[in-house]
Formats: sequence, structure tokens, C-alpha cells
Amino acid sequence: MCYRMLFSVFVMLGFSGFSTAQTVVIIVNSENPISSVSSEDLRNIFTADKSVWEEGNSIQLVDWKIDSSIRERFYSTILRKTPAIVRRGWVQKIVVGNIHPPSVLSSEEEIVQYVATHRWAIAYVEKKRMPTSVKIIALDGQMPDDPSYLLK
Amino acid sequence: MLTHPLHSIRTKFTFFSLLIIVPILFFFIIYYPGQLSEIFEQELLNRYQEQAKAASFGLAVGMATENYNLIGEGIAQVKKNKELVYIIILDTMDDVIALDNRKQHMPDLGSLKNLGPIQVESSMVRLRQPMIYESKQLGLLLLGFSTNEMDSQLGEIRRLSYMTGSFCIVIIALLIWIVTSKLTGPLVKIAGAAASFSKDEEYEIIEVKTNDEIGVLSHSFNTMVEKLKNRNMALLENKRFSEDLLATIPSALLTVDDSFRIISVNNSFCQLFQMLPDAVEGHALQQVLENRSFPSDIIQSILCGKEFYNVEIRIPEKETLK
Repeated sequence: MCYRMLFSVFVMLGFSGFSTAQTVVIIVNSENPISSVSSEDLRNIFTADKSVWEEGNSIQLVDWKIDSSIRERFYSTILRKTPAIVRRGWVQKIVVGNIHPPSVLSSEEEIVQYVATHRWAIAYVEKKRMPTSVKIIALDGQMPDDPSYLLK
Repeated sequence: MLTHPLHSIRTKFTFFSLLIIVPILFFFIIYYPGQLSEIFEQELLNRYQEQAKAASFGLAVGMATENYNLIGEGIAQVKKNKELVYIIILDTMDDVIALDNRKQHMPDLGSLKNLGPIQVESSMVRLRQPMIYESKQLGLLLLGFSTNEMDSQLGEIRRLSYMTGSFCIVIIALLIWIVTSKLTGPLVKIAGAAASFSKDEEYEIIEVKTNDEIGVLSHSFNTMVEKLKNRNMALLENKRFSEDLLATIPSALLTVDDSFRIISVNNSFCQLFQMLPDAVEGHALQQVLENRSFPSDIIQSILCGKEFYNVEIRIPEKETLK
């Protein structure tokens, strides 16, 4: 009886973990005028093919540390490349030109804090309560609550 | 007097000083740039190697930890070099991760991979640095630097050395000339004063400004000139006195030297023999007496220094006294 209950709890926890995979949201500083970004622009931003906002300001890119699951998910969904290939691309860009490389941070708090304090920063995090200095922007015109949102 | 300006002490001193200094300077001008070039070249190669090591370390750590700032810093250091021709980053499979070829001088990758850590060629310095992180090789960093800039800098060093050397020689020659002039100036004055004294008997006092040996010499020369001047004046005075004395004596007198050459005659002599002083002074006594038709036995007596009295001599009138 006891084993059966324990098994049920593990199964429930496992299912809850699987099914409660957080939606990934794209965040920018609340002073940044943009409210939406296309997945193609996002791909270009994270592969250093686009380094300035429409207003002409340099994009301050923030990325997750190596081997983080959210990063792998984001790369496979948006960039459609492995982190190793993206890394090679960044090295190539750094070697060839004077580009601003992404700041690689290890926790969500750090990333949110970075975006909150850098006006032209952009990052991706799991959907949680955000401070007022950071805003979530739409991806391909869809907000995270939309059923067809790409990073659900 | 100096027969030629080149014989002066100043010229000789300058010449010999230059003879010593110029070879030394040439030694430094020719030998030193060579040494300097080698040091400069070695320094440059060391710098390239240090930069390659720093960049490869930054790349290795940066790629392993995805710290792009580290990669950027290492690459930026290398890229500061104007001589940089190419940066190539290869992975462990020898595939190109990144390539920056500034001067479109694409090297053969196959040959680059087999290079030593550093290879100096006629127009290129090639470096090959493995990127190692935690004892694991992540790839290779290949760098190429042009030697044109290095050569031009070495040429600039040599040119500067030659210019500096030539300038130093001119300045040193000028300084030697000035110093020698200062040293030998009083000597030149002494030489001039001595020459004019020996030539025209002009008593020139040299202005003494220094207290060194030359100053002492100048001072001694002045003292000597002063004494000579005084003695000469005293002699002249004595001569004048003797002449006046001789002129006032009623007897005919003449003075002769050891060889019986007439030195001087008094007025009475001139009147007695009816001769001008210029006609007899400096002439041999025998010749003068013979010209005046003196009997030969008397001439011999005079020349032998014999005394004779009450001799009457008739002298024919040849010259009239003024």
C-alpha cells in the first residue's frame, strides 16, 4: 500500500515536471520601444547577423551558460543550430570584426537583472513574474499566452 | 711665422682628435645598428609569440566556457599589430573555425598546420600556437605577420643611427675646433707677438685672461718683452751716450771689431780723413786705409796694433763732408 502510494507520487511528480515545462519568453528593457520581434530577427540577433536595433542602437545580447536546457531548447527551436555551431559562428564574427559578443550568464536572476539595467539588452527566460523594468515582447506577433506561441 | 694654416696647433689637434673619435663613432654607427636590429627583431618575435600565446589561451578558455569577451580581448591584442596578415583558427579536425585575412595573402593551410611554433620567412613571420584548455587541445591558432613593417622599422633605426652619427661627428668636430681655439688662442697671440718682435722689434703685450699654463706662459712672455724693452732702451741710451762722447772728442777715433771691420767713427775721424761715416762703417779697416793711400807699413802697424807717433800723412781729398 505504502509502495503504491509512493509510486503514484513519483508518477505525478514526473508528469507534472514534464507537463509544466515553462514557456520561454523574450524580454527586453522596458525602455526599449520594440514590442515584437520576428523569429528570423531573433535568429539573426543570436547568430550575430544583426547587431543593431532599428533605431540604430547596438543590441546587448545576453545568453545562457553552456549546457543549460533552456538554451538548447531555444537554439533548436529558433536558431535551428547546435550551440557548438553557433559558438563557432560567434568566434568567426569576433575574429573578423569588432562585434559586441553576448554576455553569458548562469542564472535567470542575473539575466533579468542584466536586461533590467541595460536599455538595449535582449534575452530569453522562462516565463515568471517579471520586474517592471523588464518587458516581455511578442514573438512573430504572438504573446506567450497565445496557443500557437513558438516557444511554449 | 706659420708657413701654412694647416700647420697650426689648432688644426693638428682637431685632426688628431677626429682621427680618434671618428673611428669610434663609425664603430658605433655601423656595429650598433646591427646589434640593435637583432635585439629589435628578437623583441618583436618574442612579442608576437607572447601575443599568440595570450590569444590562444583566451580563445581556448573563451571557447570552452563561452566567454566571448576573453576571445575578443585576445584577438584584439593580436589585431593591434599593423603587420598582422592573417588569423586562422582551426579545430581539432583541422577545419577552419574562423579566418581573417587582412591582406588577401591566403596561405596554404596544409603547409601551415605542419609548421613549427614560429617560422621567419623573407616576407612573413608565421606562428602556430595550440589552443589548450585543461590539458586538452581545442584547436590551433595560426598567425601571420608581415616583415615589411619590421624591415622598414629596422631601416628607420639604421637611418636614424647614420643621421645621429653624422650629426655627432659634425658637432664634435665643431666642439673640438672651439675648445682648441680657446686653448691655443693665447699661444697664437704669443706666436704673433714673438713674430712681430723678431721682425719689427715691436713690443706687444699679450692680454692674459687664464691662470693655466698658457696663462703663465703669456705672463712670462710679457715680462720677458718688458725686460727686453727696458734693456734695449738702456742699450740705446748707452749707444747714444757713446756716440755723443765720441763726437765731442777732438781726436779721430774709430772702433773696430775682432776682424778689424769698422764699427763706428767719430766726427773728428770723418773730418780728418774726409770721409762720410756710411762710407767706412762696416768696411774692413785695411781696405779703407788702402783706399785712402795710407802707406802699407803704417797699415800693417795699425793692424798689428803698434803705436806710432808724429807720422804725417797727406790724404787726397775724395769726399766732402756734409
